[in-house]
Amino acid sequence: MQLRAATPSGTMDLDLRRGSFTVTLNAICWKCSPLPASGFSSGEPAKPKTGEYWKRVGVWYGAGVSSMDDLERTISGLRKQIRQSVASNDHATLAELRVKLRQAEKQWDEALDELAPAAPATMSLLPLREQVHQALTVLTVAAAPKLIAAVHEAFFAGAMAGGQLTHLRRDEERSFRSAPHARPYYLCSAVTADRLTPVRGLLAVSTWPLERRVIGSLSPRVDFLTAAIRVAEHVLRPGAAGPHALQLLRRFAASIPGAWADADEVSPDMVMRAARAELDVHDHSDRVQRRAAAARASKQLDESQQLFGAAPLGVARQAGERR
Amino acid sequence: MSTLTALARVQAAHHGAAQQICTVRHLHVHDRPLVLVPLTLAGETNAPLAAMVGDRHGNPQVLVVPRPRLREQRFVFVERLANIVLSYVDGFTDDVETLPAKRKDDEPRQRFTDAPQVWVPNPGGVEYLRLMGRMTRFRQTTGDYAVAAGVPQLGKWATWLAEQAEYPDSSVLVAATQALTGFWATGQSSLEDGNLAALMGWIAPPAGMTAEQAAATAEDPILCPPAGPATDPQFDRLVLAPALRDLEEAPSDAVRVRVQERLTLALREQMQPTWDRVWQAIGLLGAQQPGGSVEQRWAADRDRFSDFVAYLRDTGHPQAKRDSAVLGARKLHDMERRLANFEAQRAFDDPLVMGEQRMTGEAFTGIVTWSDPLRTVTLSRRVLRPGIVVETEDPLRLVAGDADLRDPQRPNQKASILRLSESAGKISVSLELQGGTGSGLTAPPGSVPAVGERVTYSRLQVSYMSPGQFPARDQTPWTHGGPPQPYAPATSDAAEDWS
Amino acid sequence: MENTEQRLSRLRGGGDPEAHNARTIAAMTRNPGCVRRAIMDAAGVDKPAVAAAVGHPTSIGRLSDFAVSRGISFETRVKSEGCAELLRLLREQLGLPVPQAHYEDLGSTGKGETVSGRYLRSKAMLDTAEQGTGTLFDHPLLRLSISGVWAYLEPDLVAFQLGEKFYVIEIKSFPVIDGVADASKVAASVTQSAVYVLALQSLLSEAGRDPGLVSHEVILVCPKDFSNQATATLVDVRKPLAALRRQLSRMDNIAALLHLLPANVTFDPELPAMELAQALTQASARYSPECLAACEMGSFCRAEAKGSTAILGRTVREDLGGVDAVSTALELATGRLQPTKDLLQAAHVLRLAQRMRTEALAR
Ligand code: SF4
Repeated sequence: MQLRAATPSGTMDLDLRRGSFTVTLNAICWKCSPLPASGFSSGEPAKPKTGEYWKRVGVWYGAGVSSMDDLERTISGLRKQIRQSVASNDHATLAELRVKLRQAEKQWDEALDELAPAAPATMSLLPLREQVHQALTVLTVAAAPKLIAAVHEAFFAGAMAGGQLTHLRRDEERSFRSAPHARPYYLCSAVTADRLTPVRGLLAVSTWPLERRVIGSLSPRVDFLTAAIRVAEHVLRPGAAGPHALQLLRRFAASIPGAWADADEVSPDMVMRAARAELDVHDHSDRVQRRAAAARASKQLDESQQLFGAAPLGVARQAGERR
Repeated sequence: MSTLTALARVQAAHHGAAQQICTVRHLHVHDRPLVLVPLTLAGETNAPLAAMVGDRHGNPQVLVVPRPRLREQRFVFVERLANIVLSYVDGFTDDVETLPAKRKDDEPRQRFTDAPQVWVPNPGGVEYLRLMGRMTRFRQTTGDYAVAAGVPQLGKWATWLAEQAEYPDSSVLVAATQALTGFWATGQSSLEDGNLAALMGWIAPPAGMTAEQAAATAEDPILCPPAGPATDPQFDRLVLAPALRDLEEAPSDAVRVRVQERLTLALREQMQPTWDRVWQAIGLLGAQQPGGSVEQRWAADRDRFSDFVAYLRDTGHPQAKRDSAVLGARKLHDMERRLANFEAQRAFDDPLVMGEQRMTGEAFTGIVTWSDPLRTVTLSRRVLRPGIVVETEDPLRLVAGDADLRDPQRPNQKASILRLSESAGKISVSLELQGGTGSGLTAPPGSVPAVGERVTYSRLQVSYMSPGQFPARDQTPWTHGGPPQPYAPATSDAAEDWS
Repeated sequence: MENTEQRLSRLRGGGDPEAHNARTIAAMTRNPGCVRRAIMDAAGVDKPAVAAAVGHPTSIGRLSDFAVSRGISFETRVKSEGCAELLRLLREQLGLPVPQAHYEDLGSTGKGETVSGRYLRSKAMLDTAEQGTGTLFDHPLLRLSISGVWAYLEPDLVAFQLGEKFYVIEIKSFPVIDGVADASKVAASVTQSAVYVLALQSLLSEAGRDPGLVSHEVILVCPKDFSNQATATLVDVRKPLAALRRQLSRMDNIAALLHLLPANVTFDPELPAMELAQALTQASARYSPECLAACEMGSFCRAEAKGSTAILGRTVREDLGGVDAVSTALELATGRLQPTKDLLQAAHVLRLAQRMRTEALAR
């Protein structure tokens, strides 16, 4: 017997005969799961124990089977209890009851929509890593998931959920370590110039020269300006100046002096000119710093470290050595 | 704050019940007010989440923004709110009265026979309207980001109402907590009085509860949801956040509708107690005897309302983001004048308010012990200047030579102090009176206080600038100083992100 | 003989002192005259736990999740792409020269790095920052000694090199609308920024540099109007800074205050409620209604102050001529109590007030 249930983090296929399940769309991740907190008293939402998840899955599954009358009885019972504990000023119970009520109401909904077919996903046909690669290739510099998603939306039609990128880098690293160079490219990290550790939240492409993936103190600005120029160039391509693309360009332009006279429509040429002008100011110092760091990295780090960064502690002693 | 009010607080704390600090109510209480209880989404700038609104206690409209982070949904909310508020306001623009011209060459003036009165729970509600006004009055009804016509119109009214609320003598927008603390003192601090439920607990505790129990209960956000606009963080975490998330993730429209119903129910539960309390407050205050000049101040409100309606029908530009220098100065002047008048009127209407003046020695009450209605003095000619002596136990700070004192019972008669003498803890004040006695050398009976009469003299006076002398319609403040530049709609106004 | 540190530890019932943060440190300046608070803060007593234990749980500092996530998302936005938006603001509004666009991330490098290690890294980096090599320092770790215990603090950002000064940058998500922001929110952020300024000064002194390099103005970055766009304002923090210094030095002298407490008293939240409440009353409090928003003990102290005029508010108390008890005020007013010499004036005014109220309300 096969069942499919929609859960808050995706859909879940249960194969009761084989006792197996598959979860599609999102990985099960406690961070995204909406299990409500279980008490008023602690300031933090309570962390659910692993077992509870299965209980809940059971509940969902059960919802299709259990009679709705039962649920309705439960709900009205809970409502009554809530009124009572409001009257008797019993906070702890009240919090618990509210959580229960919500669960029950939700089950009722699910029961009603009994095993509704999952909505078809409207996503780009390319695998995620290729979408990211496309966007990074436009930018030519290391970028944060949000920017990558925005670029993709601007030039390659179709939304990309920035949140999905978080697990990507780890998967790539795992793949590289188990079979190095099996793929034509990997999505890898940018590394800090001083400690050669991975930079939080930036993604890069393994085929880029190391120098481009090293981030010194001026590099965030330099990369920002470079990205602005690349986006502007892209907007100039025939048919590329869609609303999302222009919006993206405006975002860049707003933070570059002289790139945008407020009221006007943003001009890619103007953005490029202004960005180049500022780039001239920083480019040299940045290059010197990056080159030195890249040289150091290629001497000190092994192949996979060069791509995914050194472990934080290993090079801690380098801290003082920056200049 | 004064010792009189402080003493009232002490008495309230001692007796466990709120104490009156006025003998009459100085606020106009409308017989058909509009009550608005708004809630906002925490963290965002005045992002509407829900509201309960209506002009009848038993028939509130509950508006909910199911996805408050979506800009379009906020506008849908504002549009619905606009429908309710604007139709309420428009209801007062049918009946007109004509007033004789003040000056000879002027034409007779017209004004509406009634004006709107909006109640919100607390000053936060006033601020909500101010920000709502700022947020919506510049919106365009055409082009990109177009909104419904009611949206900017509501913005202008919300701005106007919030502006009026800055003046203490205006009653078109009332914060319930302020209206109540204007009449009662509680046995808690003014900080705690900011909580409508706690305040009402002192004034009218629920059956079976003492004031203190009621006030303590009021501080529990679960038993007593906050009066808004901010919601209780625990409610946010346990009810609101999950419901919003369920909405986002609803697998089908059917589920979405049901989640939405539940959300509405939950938000209604948060607003209902406040809604009831505001109406209760209106009832309690409405039942109090109004002061003698309430009617007159409401007439001034009606004047300003009429002016604003005329302004909207004329150019109707949204009010400027910031006052120009001229307008700013003018408002300040207005504010001072209206404040002084309001203080004087209240003192004349209300012996407890006059008491505040007497406590500071700026006024005194006493019994007339000697009266000479026929006293005359010779200036260029002989004129009538009746003399009286008043004996008082008040701590007088006035000195001989102080002039222009008035007794509320004879507002046209001025008194000046000739002499003061003290004996046995009492002060005898010799006063010379002028005016209010006709033109001859004999004062008509009753025009001069008689021996044994109780009189009160103070420096307070009402400058009768009120209704008639308010700026003519073509000089309403918005146009008088005028916006710094004539208003030209800018696209950036409409494009301005709504967080 | 027990030393101060041991005494403080016993006072909080053993264990580690509660970690202070900028908000709690800023709150310390709110009622400087209160011995109870000074001792509890100095000892790092878990005040919320104590308050709950004596039946007066507190909700101070509890924020809506929505507010928290909006705060985070605004900060992220301002800092994204190497602080592009922030650089724009600093350039446009404060004249930061274009070449200064350096960005250093001093945030945690992940597990394995200790706080003190991170502090040292921040210190090394800020110490060697020179003109033209350091502009923006993200997530630096600073520290401040609170009665001998280090409190580690993480300001939103420290900007260096605006006219050779370090500036603390504070990113807040309350809006500035038409150039005006909510005064109470500004005041709260200013006091918190002052904590960072003080900590940054102490870092420079430790590194042997001039603490005067830290500007006494902080840069407040807020959303503009109803948008997500940011705007920056310079705010002077000298006043809160002075208040903070005073209160901290007062707490450094905690030994003097401790003598006021009997040796056996502790504020261990594990104590039975009655005993704990009893212990608390041994340290004198100075309740005023402002405490309710500033100190976790507020509700307890209010209950304790029942019957006193303090619960009615500072101005009310002043208007009553400083009379302490509600009953005394009433008895003086009605003449049932003969005033002592120092209350003569107060009694006179109260009797007058009583007469006027009776007179007016009788009619
Ligand atoms: S609440 Fe109590 S302990 Fe805290 S500052 Fe006020 S009086 Fe002191």
